[in-house]
Amino acid sequence: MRADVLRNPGPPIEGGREPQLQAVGLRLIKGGAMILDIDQFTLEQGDVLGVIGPNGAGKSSLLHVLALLEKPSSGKVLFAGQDVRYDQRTLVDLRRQTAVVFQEPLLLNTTVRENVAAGLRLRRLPIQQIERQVTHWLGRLGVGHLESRKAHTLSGGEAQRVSVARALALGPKVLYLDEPFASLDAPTKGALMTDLQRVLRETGITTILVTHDFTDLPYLVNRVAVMMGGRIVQQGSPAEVLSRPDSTAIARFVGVDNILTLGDDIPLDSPLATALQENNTADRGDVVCLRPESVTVHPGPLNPGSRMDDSVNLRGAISSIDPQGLYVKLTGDCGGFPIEALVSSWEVTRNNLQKGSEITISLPLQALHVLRSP
Amino acid sequence: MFSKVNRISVGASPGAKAALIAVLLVALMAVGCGPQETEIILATTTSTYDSGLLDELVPLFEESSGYVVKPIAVGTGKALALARQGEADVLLVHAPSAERELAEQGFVIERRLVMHNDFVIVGPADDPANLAGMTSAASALQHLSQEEALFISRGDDSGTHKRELSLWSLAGTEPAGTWYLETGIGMGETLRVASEKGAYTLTDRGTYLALKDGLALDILVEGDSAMLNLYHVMIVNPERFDKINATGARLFADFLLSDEAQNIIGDFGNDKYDQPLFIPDGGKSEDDLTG
Amino acid sequence: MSLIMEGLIKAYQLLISLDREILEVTWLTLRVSGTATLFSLLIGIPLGTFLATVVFPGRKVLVSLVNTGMGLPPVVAGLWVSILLWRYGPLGYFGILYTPAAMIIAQAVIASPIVVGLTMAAIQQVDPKLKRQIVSLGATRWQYLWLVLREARLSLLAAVMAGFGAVASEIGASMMVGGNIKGHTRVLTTATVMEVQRGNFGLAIAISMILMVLAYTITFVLTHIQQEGGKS
Repeated sequence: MRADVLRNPGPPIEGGREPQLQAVGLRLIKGGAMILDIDQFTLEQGDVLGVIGPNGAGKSSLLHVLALLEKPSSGKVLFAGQDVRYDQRTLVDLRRQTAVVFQEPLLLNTTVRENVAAGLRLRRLPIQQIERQVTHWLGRLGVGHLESRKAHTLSGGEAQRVSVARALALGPKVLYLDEPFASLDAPTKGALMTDLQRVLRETGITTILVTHDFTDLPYLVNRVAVMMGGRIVQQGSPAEVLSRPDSTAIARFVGVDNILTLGDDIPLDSPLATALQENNTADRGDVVCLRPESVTVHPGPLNPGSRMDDSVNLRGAISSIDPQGLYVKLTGDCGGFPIEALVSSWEVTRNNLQKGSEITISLPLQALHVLRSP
Repeated sequence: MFSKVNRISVGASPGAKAALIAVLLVALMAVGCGPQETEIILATTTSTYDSGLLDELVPLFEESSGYVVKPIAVGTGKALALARQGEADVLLVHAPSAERELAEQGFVIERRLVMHNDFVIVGPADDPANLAGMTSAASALQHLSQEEALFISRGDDSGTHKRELSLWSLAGTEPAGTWYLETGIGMGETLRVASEKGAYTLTDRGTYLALKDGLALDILVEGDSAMLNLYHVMIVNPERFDKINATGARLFADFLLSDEAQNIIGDFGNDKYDQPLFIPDGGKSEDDLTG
Repeated sequence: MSLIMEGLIKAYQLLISLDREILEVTWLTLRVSGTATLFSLLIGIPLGTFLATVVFPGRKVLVSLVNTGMGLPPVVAGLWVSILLWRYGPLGYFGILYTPAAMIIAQAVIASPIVVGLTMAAIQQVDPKLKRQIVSLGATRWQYLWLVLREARLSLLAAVMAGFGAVASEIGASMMVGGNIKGHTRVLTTATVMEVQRGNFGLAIAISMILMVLAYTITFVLTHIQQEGGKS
C-alpha cells in the first residue's frame, strides 16, 4: 500500500452532541461459543467507522447486533441515547431509521426502480415523495438508466449499486455496510468506493463499514475498530491503527510486516538498537514494528550507521525479492535480522536489484513504533 | 424472530379481503347447502340405475310431486347397508332374500314388487362348452365347471353375484380353479371382459342388450325361473329412524306402482332393443312369479 | 384404437352440439373444483406461511402430518367426510351429503395439505439472507410476509396448480360424498367412471377427453400467469 494514501485519512471527525450508537456489556453467545464480548462501544454522530479483523472475529455479528437484526445474549444497545427494547414495535421503528447493505445485493424479484422504492413503500410515504427520492438516488449512484430493468438481469456491480441506492434512499440515521465490496472485482469495487466516499462526505451519515480488506479504510473511514476473537482490541484513526498497532497480532493483520524484539531479533550492537535506546524510544525486550512502505532502499552503501533526517541507515544485502502485484517486497538482511521493504518495480529495475545486491536501508525513527503489548 | 402469527389471509388490502369473502359466500350459496325437506334419497343398485329407467321415471315424479329425488346408485350391499343405517329414505333393489331379512328385522316396511327382468347366461358364439338349449341354469353351470370352461364372475356381492352364487349352490358345486375368474367390476365392464376372453358369464338381460352390438357374446341359457330378477321397492322404517322422509318415500313408491309408471316400465327399451328390459308387476307378489 | 377414435369423435360431437348434460356436468366440475381449490388456498397459504415462519413446540409433528396428508388417498378423505356428513353423523344436521357442498368440502380436505406443504417449501426456499434484508428495511410482520410471499410467487402458483389438478381429477371422494346424481352432483370424473362401469368405453373416453381439455386449459392459463410473473 502506498504511503501517501495514509496522509489522506478521509473525512474529519465531527463529533455530535450525543452518541448515535452505544453498546454496554455486549455479549453474544451462539452454540456455546462467545461470538461477541464487548464491554463498551460508542459511535458518534457523523463518524464513519471501519471494523476490520480476521475471519470469525465477530465483525458481521457486531454489525447485525448494532443494526438491531440480532438480539444480544446479554448487555444492551443504545440508539440515540435510548435503550433498545426488543419488542416488535420498537424494532420496526428503529430499523426504519437505519439501512443495511450486505455483501450480496439481495434485490427483490422486480424492477430496479421498484427495488429502491420498496423500503420507502413500507413506510407508507406519499407516492410523490417516494418517486422523488428514488429518482434522486438512482441518479446519484449512476444506475438511473437501469431503472426499468429486472433485478436479476443486472451485473454484480450494478446490482450492488442499486442496493446502496436503496439504502440511501431511506434517508437513514445510521448506514451499515457489511463487506459491501467483497463480491466485486477490483475496477467495479474501485468505482463504487469512489462514489460511496463522495456520498458519505456529502451527507455526513453515521456509518459502520465492515471489511476484511484494511486497504479500504483510508478511503472511506475516519475511525477504525479492530476486532479479534469477539473483542475490540484497538480503536483509533486509520493512521493510528495502521502504523501504530497495539499488539503483534494486530500488527500482522494490518500488514506491519516488520516486527522485531530489541535485544533478541535486533542485536544490541546494531545501529538500530543504539538509535532506539538513545532516544529512549525502546528498551531491551521491547517489540518494535514498522510498515514496509515506510522503508527506503538505496542501492549500494551510504554512510554506514549515520543518521539522515532522523533515519537509521543499515547496510545489508537483499535476501529475497517477491513481486506483490504492482509493488515488490524486498527483504534485506541488515546485520543479523531481516527488514521488509515495499518498493516499486521501477526502482528494482533501475537499480538492478537482485538477490545478494548490496543495499542500504533507511528506517525513519518516527515510523518505528513500539508495541504496547507483544 | 417472531411469536405467533394470526392465520388470516395475508397481505391483501382490507377491501380485497372483503371482496374475496363475498365471492366465496356467493359460490357456496350457488352450489347449495342445507337440509331440504323435499328431498328423497333413493338407494338403488348400479345395474338398476345403469339401465336408464330411473332417468326417465324420476323427472316425471319430480315434476308432478315437487320433490327432488336423489338416486344413489351403489352396490347392492351398500344399498342395503344404507337402509340399516337410516341413511336412505326408499330402496329399489333386487336381492329378495336379503330384503326379506331387512323387513323381518324392522329396517324396512311396505315392501312391494315393482317389476322383474331376468338373468341370462351368455358366452362365445361358438359355445365350446355346448350350453345352448339347456333349460336349467344350475345344470348349465355344473356343466361349465366340469368342462372347466372359462367363466367370469362379478365377485363383488352385487345382486348379480348373489344370484350366481345361489345357482352354484343349487348345482351343488363350489366354483374354483383357473377357469373361474372374479373381476370385482361393473356388469357392463364384465361383459366386455368376457367378450374379450371368449368366456361365459351370468348377466342381467338389460345390460347385455345395451351392449350387444359391441360384444362377441350370445345368449345361451334363458328362461329358468331361478334366473328371475325381482325388483322391490320398500320404505326405510320411519319409526326406527326419525330423519326419514317417510311422506316423500311413500309418494315415490306409490308412483312406481302407478299406472303411469308401470306403463313406462313396460315400454322401456322397446324402441331400442325390440324387447322391453323390464316386465311391470304392480299389484303382484313374489310368490305369484316364482310359484 | 377404434375406441379412441370413437371417443374423439363423440367428444367433438358433444362439445359442438353443446349437449346440455355435458355442459352441466362440465360447469359443475369447474365450480366444485374451483371453489375447493380456492378454499384450500385460503386455508393452506396462511397455514403454510405460519408453519414456515414460526417455531413452536410440536412443529415437526405438524409438518410431518402435513407432508403425510399430501399423499392422502382421496378415497380416504371421501370416506371420513361422508362419515361426518351422514344423516346420523356429527354434522348430519346440515344435510349436505349428496350435494356439491359436500364435494367441495371433501376436495378442499384433499387439496389443503398439498397447498400447505408446497407453500411451506416455497417460503423456506426464499434466501434467508434476503429475508434478513427485508427485515432490515423496516418491514412489519405482515409486510415481511407479504414481500416473502411475493418473492415465492412462482412456487406458490405451482401450489395452486397442484391443488387444482389433484381435485379436478379425483373420483373416489366425489363419488362417496356426492353420489354422482344427475343434475346435482355429477362431475366429469364420476360420469367417466359411470360410463366405464356400464361398458360404454367410447363415451367414457369422450368425457375424459373433455376433462383433460378443461384441466389443460386452466393449467395453461395459470402457467401463463406464472411464467409472466417470473419475468416481471
